[in-house]
Amino acid sequence: MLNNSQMSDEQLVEAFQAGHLAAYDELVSRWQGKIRGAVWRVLGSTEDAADITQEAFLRAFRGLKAFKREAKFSSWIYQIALNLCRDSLRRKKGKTYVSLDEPEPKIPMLLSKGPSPLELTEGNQIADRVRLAIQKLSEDQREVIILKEYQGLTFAEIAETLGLPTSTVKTRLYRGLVEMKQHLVRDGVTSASPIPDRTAS
Amino acid sequence: MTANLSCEAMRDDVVALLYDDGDLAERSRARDHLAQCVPCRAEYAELKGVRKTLGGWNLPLAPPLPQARASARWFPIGLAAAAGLILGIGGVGVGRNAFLPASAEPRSVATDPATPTARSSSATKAQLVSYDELQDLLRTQESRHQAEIADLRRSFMQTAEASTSPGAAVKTASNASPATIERLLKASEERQARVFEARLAGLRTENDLQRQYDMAQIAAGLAYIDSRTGADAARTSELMKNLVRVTAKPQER
Repeated sequence: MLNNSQMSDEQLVEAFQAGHLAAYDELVSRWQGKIRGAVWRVLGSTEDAADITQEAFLRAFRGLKAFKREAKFSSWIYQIALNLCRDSLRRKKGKTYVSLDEPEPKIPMLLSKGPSPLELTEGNQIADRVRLAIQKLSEDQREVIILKEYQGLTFAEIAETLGLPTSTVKTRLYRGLVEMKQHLVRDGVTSASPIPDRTAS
Repeated sequence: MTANLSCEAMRDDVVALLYDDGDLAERSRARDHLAQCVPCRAEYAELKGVRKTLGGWNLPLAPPLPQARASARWFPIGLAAAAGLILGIGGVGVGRNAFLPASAEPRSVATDPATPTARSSSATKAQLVSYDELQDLLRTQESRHQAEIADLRRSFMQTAEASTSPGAAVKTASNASPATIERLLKASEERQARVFEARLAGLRTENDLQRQYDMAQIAAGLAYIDSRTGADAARTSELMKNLVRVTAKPQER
């Protein structure tokens, strides 16, 4: 008999649907970090990330009994969380910009064994500019870039999560990266290098 | 700059190669195309650079929530939903035959994904009750709450009456001796002073750490600017020397 931590997501969902509520605890501890990370990157706020992650898992709990196991649990929970993010961004639109520029915690970085102060200064500057450049992308591009670059999902998983064909996922990724490059050049993070004329080749 | 048609058609394949995802045929087609298309090769290199820069945005090292708040927020969702149902605030979609744990005490779970979550056995060992039993439990709890509210209301009314009647006030006051009241007050003051001292010490430590960190950042920033300025000055001086050498008349060389 497998214990919860040895079971796959699919087995845990099946166990939950059979009435073992503790199986859901395992799913939460397995996915809450990743979901919170994705939400944090989409919204740019730790406070909102915690609230929305909790709300996403509560909604998943309510719907898990009826969840058809055609999709992966991970895609489904990402989908719920991203929908909540979209709602949150829509609600906040035009109201506040504070959360997007929320400074990241400093003290724990000081106490941890890690990069030198110089590296921290440069690293923080780059991280801040990347963060702001990502916030400037359209919602569609931002989501695919976050899911691919930071969550490490495959094209197929992103397609399942967002309900899109994989070709659309790739197109959004391409356009998102090109736009990111322009923002990063404009912000002085990277330098522009002219791409040879295609008509000449 | 306009991409020609074949380059446009290759974009999906190039993205597949960029992320080493998708099927082998796509990546192979992309490699073939890049081998013969200079602009696409240049763009591919640029996009790889963008990906590298994106890697510089890490999650904060600390758990995003302060611990005290985190522990208050996070508890097993299953138990949370059951608690919500018991309190009458949760619209949890459970059927009539669904089973819920009888114990709905919230417990804290670490929010840091790196920290292994302490697996309490409370959920697995929780006593399971049927929907009907749960309804009984709710009714019992409701009547207990009503009785407690009635008791509180009664005691409040008695206190209010006592405070408005001078005779009763004297009687109440005489129940506790002045020495006892004084001792209790002193103990309370001492306790508050200790708590205040402890908080002050915590704040001082936190403040010192932040100041040290800020100083280190400023020093690092200044050192960085110094080194940049030094390098720029050396480069300018080198350029000036070259300029003088080049513009000098032949007989001066």
